[in-house]
Amino acid sequence: MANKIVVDPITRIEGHLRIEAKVENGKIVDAWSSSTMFRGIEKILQGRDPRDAWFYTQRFCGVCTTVHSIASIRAVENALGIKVPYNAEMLRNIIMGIQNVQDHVIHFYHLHALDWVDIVSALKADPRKTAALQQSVSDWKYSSADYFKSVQDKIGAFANTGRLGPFSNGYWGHPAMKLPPEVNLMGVAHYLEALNLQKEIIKIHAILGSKNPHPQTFLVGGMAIPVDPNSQNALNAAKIAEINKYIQMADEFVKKVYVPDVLAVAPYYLDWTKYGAGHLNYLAYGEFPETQSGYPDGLWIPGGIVKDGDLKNVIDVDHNKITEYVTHSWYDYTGGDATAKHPYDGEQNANYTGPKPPYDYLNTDEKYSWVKAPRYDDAPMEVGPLARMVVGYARGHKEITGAIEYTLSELNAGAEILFSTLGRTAARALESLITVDRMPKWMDMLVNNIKTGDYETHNPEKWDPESWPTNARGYGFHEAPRGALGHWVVIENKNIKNYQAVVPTTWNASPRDANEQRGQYEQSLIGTPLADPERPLEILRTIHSFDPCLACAVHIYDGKGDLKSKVKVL
Amino acid sequence: MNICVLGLGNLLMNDDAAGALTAKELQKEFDNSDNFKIIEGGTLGMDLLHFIQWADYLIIIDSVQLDLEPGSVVKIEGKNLDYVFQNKLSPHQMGMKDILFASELSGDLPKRIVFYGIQVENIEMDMKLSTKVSANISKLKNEVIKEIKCAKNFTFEEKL
Repeated sequence: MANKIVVDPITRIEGHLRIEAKVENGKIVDAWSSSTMFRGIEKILQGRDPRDAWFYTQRFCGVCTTVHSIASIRAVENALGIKVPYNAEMLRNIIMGIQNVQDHVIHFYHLHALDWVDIVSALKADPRKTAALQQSVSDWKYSSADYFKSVQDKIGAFANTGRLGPFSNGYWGHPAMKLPPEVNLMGVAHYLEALNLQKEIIKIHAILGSKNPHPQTFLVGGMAIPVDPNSQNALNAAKIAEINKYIQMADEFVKKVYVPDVLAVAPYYLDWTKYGAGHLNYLAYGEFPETQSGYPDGLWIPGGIVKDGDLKNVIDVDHNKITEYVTHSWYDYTGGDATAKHPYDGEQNANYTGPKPPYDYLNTDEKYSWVKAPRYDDAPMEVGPLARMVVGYARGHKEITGAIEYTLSELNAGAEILFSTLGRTAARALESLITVDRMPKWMDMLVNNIKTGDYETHNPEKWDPESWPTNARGYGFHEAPRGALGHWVVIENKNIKNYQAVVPTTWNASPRDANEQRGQYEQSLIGTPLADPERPLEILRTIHSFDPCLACAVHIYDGKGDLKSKVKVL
Repeated sequence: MNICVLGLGNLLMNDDAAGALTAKELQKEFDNSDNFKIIEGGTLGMDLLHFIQWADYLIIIDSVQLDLEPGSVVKIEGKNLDYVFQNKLSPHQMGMKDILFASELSGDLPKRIVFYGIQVENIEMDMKLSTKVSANISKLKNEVIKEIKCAKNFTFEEKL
């Protein structure tokens, strides 16, 4: 008899996600992913000036405040045929690059590490052994026994408050936790170091965006950042030096801490190279234009599609083949739910038909999620760092291939281990590694271009709506930290007529489609063993490995009964 | 002593935005200084950590769902806040729970945290507050202003 277990909510993610899983003989045999997700965005954007859209789409997401701005301005630029000046492309690269690195560091240390690292076990570590371990993996500056003792004292102080209970943020003492105490202590130390690092390196956004959170310098046709080596108020030598300092800081942490940590932890969890693969379909749009001809030409990270794990054939992306189903999603399509719609024709007529809360299970035979089901040429796809690394590897991309082969040789394994929970987590570290290596190059390219006397950061040619055609439509792609992001805009009489976004987590967290194909989260859980179904840590490991982001999925929950009594009504 | 007023919410989701909108309103009345900051945090997660680590006295403003009369203004403080974050009264607390966990582990948890909330009427994609929340948003703001004044006269040495 199969048992159905429910994990709701999945914690330590940005947003709300519920997983229902059917378990037989200690293994997951089927799974359903359900979430709230932003919807009805066209209502906010319809009738507005497309040049303003980025300012609203920036608020879709609570975590990466840059990504929906970039996709939006690119969609409008694509619709109107605007070429962005080289300086602006480099500035965007730097903003996107550090966003990816910062987000990956936060994901690994603050949202994912506690699935693998047992904080309570770190109390039993011998700080001298942790120091020896640290010194053996890299020449990182914080590596003394005294330092690790001080970290252990902090954990001890927290534990003494009684609030580090078994359910506060992690499954301490779970049988699937495999790290020795010394490694756990190193992990907690880096968790704390990463807290400080992430808030430092993102200052690049404050420098280039005038404000962080929510940078303000995006602009259709370029960036609202004046470049002038001789001006106090423009991007000048002093500001460039400051940005370089933060890039250097990120570089050191990724190379001496993040990547060595992944390699140090992986040998204890090699089982996790066998679970979590899901459909072996990977989609990447490509990112980081590096040539004078501008986006979408000359992308450093290549786009493409790998299907069924076949690394010998990479398919070029055609945006016309992207469609969304709502067969199992709480929407109605005009013309029926059996056929999918392209985002240009996208609709979001909400129709909740799920059970009235509180309920035990969703009716998964019918509609069961607010997330739509995007498909490429009718196939479900995984997007994100793993997809980018797999597509790049299949294309023989120099830096990606180098990083992957180094890792495989360190772990003494073949490329098949990429298709797994651990592969997904490692891919994020490898992407951070090649990105911190590349960022100084974009800074050089920017500086060298400025030296030629080119101070242009905005192309004003099509700024005036009088220069636009009556009807225009376009799409904007961006490789956000969590994967392939697309915005589609339809412009009519100078205003937005329709606007749709297909976000990375929609691809990964999608429910089934009209052909009953599972979404990638659902598929990736099948075959995963559960040591203790009451504490389904293994589900969290695989779901967290995707870095779920449903923060755009803002929804309010019922407080529990005992909470109501704690509230003072004013 | 550093005081931080943190308003949370998604500006695109009507009543959900109440905390963020209140912070924006308060910014018109109070100037940020070396030891006082009002932050409109949107629905951000870890990016808010440095404000929380910086604060000794943290005032959080957010929307809540407690099946109260829509527009009801509530206050939660002290130990009762643990329940808020455990039960994730509002989705932003998912992030807030993680942030507070992180700041407690790093030893930087604010000494005092007070939470002000407003009961939502409905949540949908819209940039206008519902009638009932809109009618009471000034009450929420006034309660927070009282708290800010109280915070500015507060010294931990005396009260602890």
